[in-house]
Amino acid sequence: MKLNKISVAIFFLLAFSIQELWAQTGDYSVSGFVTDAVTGEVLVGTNILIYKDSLNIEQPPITGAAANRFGYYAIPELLTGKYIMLIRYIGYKTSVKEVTITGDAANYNYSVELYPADIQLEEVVVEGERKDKPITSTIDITPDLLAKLPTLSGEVDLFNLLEMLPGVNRASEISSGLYVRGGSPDQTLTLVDGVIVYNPAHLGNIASTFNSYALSDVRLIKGAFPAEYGGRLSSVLDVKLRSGTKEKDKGTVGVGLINSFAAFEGPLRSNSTYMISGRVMYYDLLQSKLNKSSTIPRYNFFDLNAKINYVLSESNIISISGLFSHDHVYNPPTVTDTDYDIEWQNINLSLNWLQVNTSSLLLNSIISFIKYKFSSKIGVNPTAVTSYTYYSNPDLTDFYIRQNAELRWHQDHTLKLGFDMALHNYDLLYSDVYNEALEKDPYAGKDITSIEASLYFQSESQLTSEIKTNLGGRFYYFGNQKFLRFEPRISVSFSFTPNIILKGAFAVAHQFLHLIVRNDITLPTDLWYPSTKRIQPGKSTQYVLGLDTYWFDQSYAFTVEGFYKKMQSLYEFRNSPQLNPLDDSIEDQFTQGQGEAYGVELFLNKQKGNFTGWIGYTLSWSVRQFDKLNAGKVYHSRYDRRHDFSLVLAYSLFNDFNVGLTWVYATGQRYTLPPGQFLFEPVGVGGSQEIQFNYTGINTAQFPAYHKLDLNVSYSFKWFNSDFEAYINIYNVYNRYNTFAQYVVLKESEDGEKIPVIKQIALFPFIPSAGIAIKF
Amino acid sequence: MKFITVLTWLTFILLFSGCESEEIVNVELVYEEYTVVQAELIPGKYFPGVRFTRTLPLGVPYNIKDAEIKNITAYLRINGVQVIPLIYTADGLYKPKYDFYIDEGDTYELFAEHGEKYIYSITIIPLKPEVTSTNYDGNDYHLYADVNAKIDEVYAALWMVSVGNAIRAETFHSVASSDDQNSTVRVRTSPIPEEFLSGIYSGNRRIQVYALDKSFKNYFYTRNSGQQINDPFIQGTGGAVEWNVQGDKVIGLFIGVTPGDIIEVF
Repeated sequence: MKLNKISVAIFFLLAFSIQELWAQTGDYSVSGFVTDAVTGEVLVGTNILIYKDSLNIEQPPITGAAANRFGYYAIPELLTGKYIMLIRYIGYKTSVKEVTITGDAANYNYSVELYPADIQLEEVVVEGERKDKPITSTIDITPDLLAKLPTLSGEVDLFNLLEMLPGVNRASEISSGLYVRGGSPDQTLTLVDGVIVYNPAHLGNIASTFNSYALSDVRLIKGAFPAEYGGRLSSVLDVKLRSGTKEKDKGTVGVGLINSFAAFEGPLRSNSTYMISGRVMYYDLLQSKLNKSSTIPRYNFFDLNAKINYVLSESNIISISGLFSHDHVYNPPTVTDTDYDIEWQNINLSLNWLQVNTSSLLLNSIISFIKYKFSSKIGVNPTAVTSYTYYSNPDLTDFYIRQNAELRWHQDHTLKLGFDMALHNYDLLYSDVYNEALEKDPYAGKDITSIEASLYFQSESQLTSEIKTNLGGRFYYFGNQKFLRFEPRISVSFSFTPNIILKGAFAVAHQFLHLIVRNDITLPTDLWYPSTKRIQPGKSTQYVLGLDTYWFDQSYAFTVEGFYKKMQSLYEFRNSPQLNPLDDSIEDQFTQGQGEAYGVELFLNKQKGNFTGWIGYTLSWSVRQFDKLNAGKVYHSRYDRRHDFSLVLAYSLFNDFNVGLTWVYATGQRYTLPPGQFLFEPVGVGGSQEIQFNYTGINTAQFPAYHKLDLNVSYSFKWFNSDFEAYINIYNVYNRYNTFAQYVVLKESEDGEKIPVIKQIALFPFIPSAGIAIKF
Repeated sequence: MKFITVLTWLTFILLFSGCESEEIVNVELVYEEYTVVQAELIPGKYFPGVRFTRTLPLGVPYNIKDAEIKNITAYLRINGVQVIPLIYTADGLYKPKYDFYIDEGDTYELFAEHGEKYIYSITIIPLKPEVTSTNYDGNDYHLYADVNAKIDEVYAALWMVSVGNAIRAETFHSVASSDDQNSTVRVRTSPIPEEFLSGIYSGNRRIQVYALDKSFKNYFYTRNSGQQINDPFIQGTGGAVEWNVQGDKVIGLFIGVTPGDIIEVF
């Protein structure tokens, strides 16, 4: 109780300190945004160097900064006088500006526009743990790389790329979401322009819900994330969308056999831009026409991203964003043993206000509305002894207010403070039997409203020329049961030399919203459920230790990282749950457990030149233990992978001929296989004896190893004064039949005897595709 | 709106049909031998015997001659007093030397020894279920009955329709129980299939309630773990079935089952 009072006191103290920061005055500072002069898009990571009086590049600058993820920079502690500012960003013409500080203002706003260089310089494709960033386990991805990689649908996508990184697993060819360092998909916090997306993936990770065309910047933090992020146990995917070009109206339209897309962007007025993009996939239509005997689930989706950006002044930018996606998966007519119909839908609306005050404090305020609906109706063998049905229909509605403040108060110290306030409404419906009347029954299911509040502080410091720290903490309040939690976050790096950096991190994280899944069903069965009196908040404790090295003028980077993650208060459905929507027994159907994940990741990344790419390798373990699963014994989670190897290569020849190649090798997925068969008579109802299988544990067997080579070749050329791009994409080049499922079936022998054998399903063999793009 | 640039994009998937492949594969199977016990004790009927078999590996046809266990020493104890040895007969079935009737409310214990393995189970034969009311739910076409519950019993029900030959459900839908001795519980059947709802069947709906030893509940809600499901997208849970026989690597049921009267539902 005492701890709770102290936590509340610190919570409010920090809340007030944000306002105090706002009023802070001190030395003179220079700040502003760095943008592309043609499109208006922000240039993340731009280097700004300050020289005194005159430019002498033989001498080191007196100070400097790098533009953050908003394209914002701030250089504090300047005295009155004349300065020369050098602004550099790869692929852009270097800009030189003279800055005179007269002392009549605390902060001088110098926003900068850079012009693209005619000849593209060396390209940084993946910036893995750059030495100037003290964030451990972080990988930044530029959209440029996406265009070079092969994909199944023909359209490049972020999630395909993320699954190639060490520490990120692919659960199966039809699974959705990211499996990061042994964590389940719900344990990854996905933010799009600062707004949470509950389900960021389309089925099978064929694509993410945000159109890759709209991406500006992507950051994946695989573990021990800093205090500015919270609410999930394992990892963070932070995505920034483009604002739209201010140059002129542009359109992109694509039509394909299984999916199509369109994107439009341009200026609205001199100070505002828009961007809208959408996709539709109609894979189910193609299946029904060309592949009627297929047992692959029928599937379609569409999504829409839109953003309007207003630059009110040099220090005030407002954007309004919207995201809508809808997925539908249902059983093909060839499948009669089961009947399933699953839909999910994301709706996100947000207002984002970015402002810089007179003391160079960057303030980011977000108001958002989030609605996530999910519906899963699954029936199995409706007339047989094994019959059961499952129906869940969670409907989540959130109102979020979020404010983040960032102040570079000293050239070696940046302070970040922020708070989140959220009003959640969880309208949960579930049943063993689906009936339309259930959806209208006000007494069916559960309706839970909760208030969630969190406050964080984060200090990023360069303590000495060798030591950098990122220290912070996050306080959480969850209103349903007045849970109060504190999460310390510590990250430290030590530079032995500029090219050898040792990093370590420790983090505690909580998750108040659980994704309860059925471990016996491969299809999505999501039931999001908040922490209550009986359902404790999930908790993770993470440790990371790593070493970064850079070679050959930083053309190559090699990283090795070890991680350990302990997860407590995880929840799953117990075996054969009974879902009665009219009583209060739903929480009896859950079983509490814990998990552990640990491993080592190796990452060799070639960052510069025409030939780029990486080799990633992960050695890891992931285990779970639940009171009412597997007789309480520890078992390997389904996404436990002992070995996971990935090779990604991209080669550019004269800027018009590109080759992309990916190869993955991973230990086979774990699954459950019975070690014997027996004959048993149905109890009570009579009938003849039936062969049954003696399952003795969860995930006791493994599929064969998964490996696959994909290839993409593209060639750009001019014809009749138009630009063309032709490409060939080959999925699964050597036609590896990777196992999607293995299960026991009874095969009838010539003598009429039934023999239990193992049947294997492989989904996607060799699939070549080709396309041509015309730009005019 | 003017569009300065329009990019058209076409994809031709050359080899799309026949995507997935299905094949029988040779997997290195791990075999663990378990002893399987089964006996269903119904009041008013002769004791049926207890069947002792072993599990067989996957990949071979099930043959009772390979599975039966012949060298088990087993006996019953009734109400903690009367001891009756069981003798091997055929196909793994062990029976008493002389037939005897099962009685409601009696307690039966099974003791068995197989090599160094000891097997034990206990069951109480339920009383005939007291049904207080029945009805038909037209929402999803099931029948239900209210039953006076006893704490050592659980209840399940089957629907029946009969015009000439009786047709009935092949499985219980759910089981109901109560921790209070004198409470009433509602037990329901699975939905009656559409073809038996109208016409000549519409006036012939019946329900039969069963009372079972309380250990049946745990078995019922974990029994899917041992079943075959022919769908790659929905697979067995793999969680162990909760049986009511005890012993190292022993599975099975030794359970009392008391069927109630067949009651017509209007």
